[in-house]
Amino acid sequence: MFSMFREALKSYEHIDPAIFALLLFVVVFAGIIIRVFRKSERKHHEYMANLPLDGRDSE
Amino acid sequence: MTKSGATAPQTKYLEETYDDTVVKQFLMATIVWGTVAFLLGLVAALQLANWRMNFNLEWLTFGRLRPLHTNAAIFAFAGNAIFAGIYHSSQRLLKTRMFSDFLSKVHFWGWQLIILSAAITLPLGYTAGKEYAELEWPIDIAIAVVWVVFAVNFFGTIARRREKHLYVAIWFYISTIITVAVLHIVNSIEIPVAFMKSYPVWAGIQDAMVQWWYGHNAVAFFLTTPFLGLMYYYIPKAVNRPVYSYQLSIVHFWALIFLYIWAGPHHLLNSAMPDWAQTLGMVFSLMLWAPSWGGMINGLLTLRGVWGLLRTEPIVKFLVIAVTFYGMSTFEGPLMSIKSINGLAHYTDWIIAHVHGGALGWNGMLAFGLIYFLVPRLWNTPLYSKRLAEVHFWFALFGILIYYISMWAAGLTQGFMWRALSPEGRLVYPDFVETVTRIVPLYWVRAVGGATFLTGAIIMIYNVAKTIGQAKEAEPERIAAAPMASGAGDKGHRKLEGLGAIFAVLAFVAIAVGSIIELVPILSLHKHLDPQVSVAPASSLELAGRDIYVREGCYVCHSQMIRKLPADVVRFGKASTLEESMYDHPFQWGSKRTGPDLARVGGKYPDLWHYRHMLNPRDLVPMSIMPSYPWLLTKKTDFVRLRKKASVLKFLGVPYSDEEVASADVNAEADAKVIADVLRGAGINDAQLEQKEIVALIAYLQSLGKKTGTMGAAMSDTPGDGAAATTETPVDASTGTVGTEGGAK
Repeated sequence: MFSMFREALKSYEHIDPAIFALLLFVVVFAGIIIRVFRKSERKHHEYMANLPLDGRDSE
Repeated sequence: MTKSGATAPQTKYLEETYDDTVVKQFLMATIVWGTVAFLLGLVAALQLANWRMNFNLEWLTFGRLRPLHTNAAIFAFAGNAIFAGIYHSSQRLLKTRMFSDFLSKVHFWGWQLIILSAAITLPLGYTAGKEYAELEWPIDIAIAVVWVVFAVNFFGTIARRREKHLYVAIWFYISTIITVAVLHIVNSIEIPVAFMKSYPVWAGIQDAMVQWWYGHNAVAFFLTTPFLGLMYYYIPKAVNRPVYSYQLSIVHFWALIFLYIWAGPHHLLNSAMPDWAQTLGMVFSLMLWAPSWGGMINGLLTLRGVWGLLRTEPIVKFLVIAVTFYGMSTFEGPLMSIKSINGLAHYTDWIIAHVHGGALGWNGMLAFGLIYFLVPRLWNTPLYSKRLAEVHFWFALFGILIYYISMWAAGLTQGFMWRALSPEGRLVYPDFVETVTRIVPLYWVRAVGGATFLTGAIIMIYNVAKTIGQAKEAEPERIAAAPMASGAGDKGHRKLEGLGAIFAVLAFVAIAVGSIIELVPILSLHKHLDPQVSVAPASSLELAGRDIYVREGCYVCHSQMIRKLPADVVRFGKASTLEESMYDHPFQWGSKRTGPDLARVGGKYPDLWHYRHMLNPRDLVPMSIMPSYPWLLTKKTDFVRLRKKASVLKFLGVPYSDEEVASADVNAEADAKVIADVLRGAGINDAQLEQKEIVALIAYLQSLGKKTGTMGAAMSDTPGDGAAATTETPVDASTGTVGTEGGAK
C-alpha cells in the first residue's frame, strides 16, 4: 500500500512543497479550530450570530 | 432573547438615519449593467456559433467583445451588486451611517465612470492584453483611486461603529478591500508609452504568475469573499434565523483567505512554469475544498427548520440555489486543478462552463436574491409580483443549466479529440478545425441558455420597475443601536473581532504569506532560465505586429503555450520554454483555444497565407469560425511611436541596443517593405502595402517560435524542431493555400 502511494507520488516532481503545504495546513488550522470551538465563547458566538437579525426589518 | 437563546442588549432607534440613497444607486446600476453584460455575453456566444455575427466591424469582433463582456459581468454587474450589499449591510451591522456621504457619492459615480470608460475603450482596441485586467493605465489609476475612496469610507465607518464586535460579513468585506487593492496595484504596474498604451513591467513567466495570482484571486476576492459576506448577512435576514454556526464561519473565513491566494498557479499547469509552483498551486487548490464546503454548509444549514420557505419565497430560492452553485463550483474548481484532469480541461469550454456556473449560478443568483430582498425594503413597498420573481428564477436556473451542460459537453468532446492519438502516436484529429466544427452545435445550445438567462433578467427589470413605480415616498430608516459593549475582558478571536485595524492587518498578513512565497522566487527570473539558450527580442516591425495582436484580443482564442503533454507536442511542436516568452510584455500564453496554439506558427505558412487568412479565414480553412479582419488591410501601422515603445521595453530589460531604439521606425519600415514586396510578387496589388497593419501582424506571426537558439548558434528556423511533423501540410507557395482542407488551422 505504502509502496503504491510512493509510486503515485513519483509522477509529481517537487513533492516537497506539497508536503510543506499540507503540514502548514494541518498545524495552522488545527490551531484555529481548537481556539474557535472553546466552550467559553458560546454566548458570544450566539450573540454575534444574531447580529443581522437585530433591526427594524427583522421585527 | 433571540431565537437561539442568546441575550441581546436592548436596542433603541437613534435620530440618525442610514444612507440608503447610495444603496439604491448601486442596485439600479447592478440591474442596468447586469443586463448589458448578459446581452454582450449572448452576442459573443452567437459570434462563436456563427462568425457572421461579428459583422466585419472591428469594434464588435469577438476578440474585443469578450473582454468587454467579462469586465461588464465582473466589475459592472457583480461589482455594483457587492457595493449595494456592502453599503446596506455594513451600516446595519456596524449600527452607524456610512462615514461620508460625499465619499459614497464619489465611489458610486467614479465606479460608473470607470465602467463607461471600459465600455468605450475596450471595443476601440485599447487593452493591456491581460485577462480581467485589460483596462489601460489611466483607467487603472482611476480604479485605484476609487478603490481607496471606498476603503476610506468603509474603514471610516468601522471606526465610528456602535457595535463593538465585527460580524463575519464585515471580515469578508475587509479582506475583499485589502486584497483587491494589493492585486490590482501589483498586477497593473506598467509603463505608459502613450495616453492609452502601456507595457507591464512583468514579462513572460513573471507576468504569467502575477497575472494568474491576480486573475484567480479576482475570482476569490471580488467574486467570492464579498458574496460570502453577503451570504452571511442576507440568508439569515431572508429566513430570519441566525447563521448555522458562527464558529464554523471563523474557520471558514481564515482558512479561505489564507488558502485561496496560493491557488493561482493552477491556471498554468503543465506549462513551462516551474514544477514546484505547479505542485504548490494544485495542492492548495485541493485544500480549498475544505473551507469552501464549510462555508456552503454553513449557508445552507442556516435554513434548518425553515426549509419550507424554499417553496414559498422566491428570495430564498435565489439565495439557496446561489449557495448550491457555490458548492458545485468550489467542488469542480479544485477537481480541475488536479494536474492530470487539468490536462484535459484546460483551454477547452469546460473552463467556460465552470466559470459561468460560478458567475451566473453563484454571483448572479445571489445578486438577484439581493435585488428582490432590497428593492421592497428600500422603496418601502411590497414586491409587485412574487409570481414574476418565481418565473425569473426558473428562467435563470434553466438558462444556467442549458449553458453549463452544453459547454461541459463541448469541453469534454474537444478535450478528448485533441488528445486522441493512434497506436502509432499520430493525431486522430489532426485538423484543429475539425475539433471546433464538432462543437459548434453546442455553441448554439449555449446561446439558447444565455438567451433564457437574459429573458429572466428582463422579467426582473419589469418586476422591479413596477415595484418602484407603485412606491410612495418612504421615510429613511433610522439606525437601531444598542449601547456599545466595552470589550474589556475579551480574549482570542473575540478580542480580534473588536479590533478593526488589527483584524485588517492580520487579514493582510494571511494573504501576503502565500503571495510572497509564490511570487518572490518567480520574480528572480534568471534562476529559471537556461543560460545556454539565447533569445532574440522582437524586431521593431514584429513589435508593431505584436501590439496589433494584443489590440485585437487574439489571445482570447489562441494560446502561445505548448504544454508538456504528448498530444500538445505532437500537434503543435516542442513544448514551450520559459525563455521563449521572457521578453513578452505582456505574456500571451492565453487561457482558451477556440483556435490553435500559435507558439510555433512562425514559418509554417507563407506570408500570403496569413494575408488571405486575415482577410477571410474561410478562403483557406472553409469551416473556420474565426472573424475576418478586413480593416488590417486598410489601417496604417503606427511606425512613429515605435522608438518610444522600444525605448520603454529597453528600460524594462529587453536587450535592444541604442541604435535599434533610435532607428526602430526606420528598421520597421524597411522590414515591412520586404514582406510587402513578397506579397506584391504573389499578386497583391496595393501600392502602400508596407504601410498597412497586416504586414506588421504577418511579421509578428512569422516570428513566433523562431526567436530562440543555442548560444553561439543560429536562431531556430524549424518550428517545432520537427516534432510537429504529423500536422505539417503541403503549402502552395504561390497561392498560400494549404494542401488539405483546414490543415492545422
